[in-house]
Amino acid sequence: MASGIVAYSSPFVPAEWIAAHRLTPLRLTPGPSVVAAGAGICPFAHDFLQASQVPGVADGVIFTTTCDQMRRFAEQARASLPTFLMNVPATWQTTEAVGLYVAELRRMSEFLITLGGHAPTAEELRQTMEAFDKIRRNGSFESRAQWEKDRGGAAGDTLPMNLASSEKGFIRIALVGGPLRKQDAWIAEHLQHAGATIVLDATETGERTLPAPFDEARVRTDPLAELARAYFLTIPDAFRRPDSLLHDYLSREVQARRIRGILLIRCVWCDQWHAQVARIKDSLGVPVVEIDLGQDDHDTPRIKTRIDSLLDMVR
Amino acid sequence: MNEPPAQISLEQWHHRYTSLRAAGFHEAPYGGPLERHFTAGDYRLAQLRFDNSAAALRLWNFLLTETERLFAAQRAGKKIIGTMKDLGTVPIMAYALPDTIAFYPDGTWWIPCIMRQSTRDLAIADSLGIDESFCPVRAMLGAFETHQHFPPPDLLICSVGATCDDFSAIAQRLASRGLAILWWEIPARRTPEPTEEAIALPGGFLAGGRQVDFVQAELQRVSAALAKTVGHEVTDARLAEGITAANRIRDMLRQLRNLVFTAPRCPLPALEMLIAEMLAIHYCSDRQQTQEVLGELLAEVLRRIAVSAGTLPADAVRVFWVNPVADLQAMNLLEECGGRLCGTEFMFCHALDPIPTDVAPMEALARMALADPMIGPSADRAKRIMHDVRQFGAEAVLISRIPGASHCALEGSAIRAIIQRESNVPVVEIEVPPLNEGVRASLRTRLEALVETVRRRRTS
Repeated sequence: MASGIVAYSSPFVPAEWIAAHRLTPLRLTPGPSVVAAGAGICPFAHDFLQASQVPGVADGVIFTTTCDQMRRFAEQARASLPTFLMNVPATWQTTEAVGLYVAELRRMSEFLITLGGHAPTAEELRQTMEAFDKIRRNGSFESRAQWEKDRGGAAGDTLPMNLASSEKGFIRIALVGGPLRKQDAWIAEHLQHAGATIVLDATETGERTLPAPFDEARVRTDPLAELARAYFLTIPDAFRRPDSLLHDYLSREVQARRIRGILLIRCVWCDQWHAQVARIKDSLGVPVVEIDLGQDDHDTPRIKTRIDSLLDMVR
Repeated sequence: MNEPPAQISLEQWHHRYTSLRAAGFHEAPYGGPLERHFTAGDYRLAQLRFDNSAAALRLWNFLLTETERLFAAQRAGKKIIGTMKDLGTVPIMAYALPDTIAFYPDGTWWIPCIMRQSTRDLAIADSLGIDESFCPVRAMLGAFETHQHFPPPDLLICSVGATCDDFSAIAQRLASRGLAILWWEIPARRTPEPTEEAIALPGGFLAGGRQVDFVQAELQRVSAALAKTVGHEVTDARLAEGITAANRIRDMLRQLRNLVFTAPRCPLPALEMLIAEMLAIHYCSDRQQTQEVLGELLAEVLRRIAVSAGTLPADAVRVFWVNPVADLQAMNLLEECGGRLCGTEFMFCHALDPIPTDVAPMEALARMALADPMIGPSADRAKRIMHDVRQFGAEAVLISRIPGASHCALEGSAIRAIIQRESNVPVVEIEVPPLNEGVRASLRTRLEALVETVRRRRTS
């Protein structure tokens, strides 16, 4: 039996909210699964489901509607584990959408309480948010990952890509796209061996999906509203409508970090990220190569060739 | 003018049309011989088999003249509203307003089939990075670039949230081309919480009161945008009138479905039934004509049932069809293999169920929008399918996967598992591309196997 661990994958699930309920948030990065996903099925969503169902990993699991298949996998998860499906609106520019996100956080609270959680007071939430925010402000992206790992106490929640410091003579590359699994860590190693350095990890499991720093005054007056603002109104993603936050973010970061090439990584069958490729190519002015990750490693040589071709384009 | 019911080819329709004309057959303004659509580029018609009734001819002419009717309406000063994905809700609001027509650009997903990929729509989608790994609805991208299939709408509205990823991604690609889109949110339907009111939706699903309130607020935003575009307020009185008109059409379709799916001999073929059901979504851009077209079909079906006439053998295997097909010819193929349509769930049963009239009109529309089978759990959808399978006495279920659609891979197997757990009805899953020639042999084999399975069960 896990001890109050709540697994999730989407960056739109605030870890602070789970922690404030005195439960342990576990942003679960799945590893290889022995069960085949099948044609048309997202390998990440499939493997996340499998990983969350391993006995002892989690007491409950949270899925979100940010991806069609994640939404549908929540149905399967219910059969064996307490499951919460959070409606994260695709729209974000209206008060109704923000209101729905906050309402869903409240509904999540009821779910967390059924798992043994404790309804936090405003003061408890404020303290939790400040603790998380302090780590994010003082530390690097990696320290946040380490923090989550320490808090999680279970295997599987480290973020696979370690940002290399900018090394002279190495080609400055951005990773952009959907979530990565443990077995995808070889991509970073291959890039490094091939003479590149990752200066931006804008995958779903990377720094792109960090919430904005909290505003201290707003945390004091209405911590839940501030939590919603920092997550819902600032995290750029391909599923949002419109998706202007994502393109503004990429445009800003690519320029600021002097990025020379983009490796767009998506799971095979992922329409949301696949549809972004042509636009990113058109708008950012740097070479972009897309790779699609399947469930097994048969495609590794093909993917390596594509990565090498990106570096050839940039050199 | 009445001949025994039969399915005939496009060429045979030429002769049939001549004899109908000679007999003094009266046509609607969009009437004419079917082959003119072939000449204009609808090349798939040459491979289809059609019902031979005058009512069916009117149905086809109504469908195949939508493009020219839309352009004519815009020239006449009417406002054209492009509404995407919600399949049935927003058009009721639009048609409630004077001089306003709503249509679904999504409908272009049939263009690659109907025009046998003779247009550039898919090539344009490819060039925009939306390749064949996406649902055939990607043809919509090409259609917006060429303006050949519909005029540029005065307002473009799209529901997002609990929708398939491919559609959402394609619509966003449209927006990136400079088209202004009003996005409105449809949340994933969930079981009502103990702390909120459980609202019964059309068709029998349940939703939480807070979700109904949310969708109602979203539809108010849509309503404000419509009013701004059209210059008329979407009042409760207008909406109520629009709902009454929608319910009249839904009632006709309910009668048609009941008659066709339960008659001892099939009085109207699968292809025409598919087209007829599609009219419910946006009235094929003309609400009044939809009513008249359905009226004629109903009369024809009643006439045939009265004389025990049908288009198929009496022992045809009764098949319930799940999801629409990208290639219309698949409906013919079912019948060629010995099947007949006996129930459908083409992803828009919420556009067929009666809209409540005992609540405020906007709330009624919110309830209807939340009854969309695609926004809730697959188990809900499977339950609904099982109910209809029993009601219509279907002997088999055919789940037709849409190539590239994000929902099909998981949903099909989930629905199949539930149906097999709750009944002994055989289920088969197929995938139909926009032109099925490449997979026709395997499709035929699977459909024949399904029919044989049912026939063996009948005798054992």
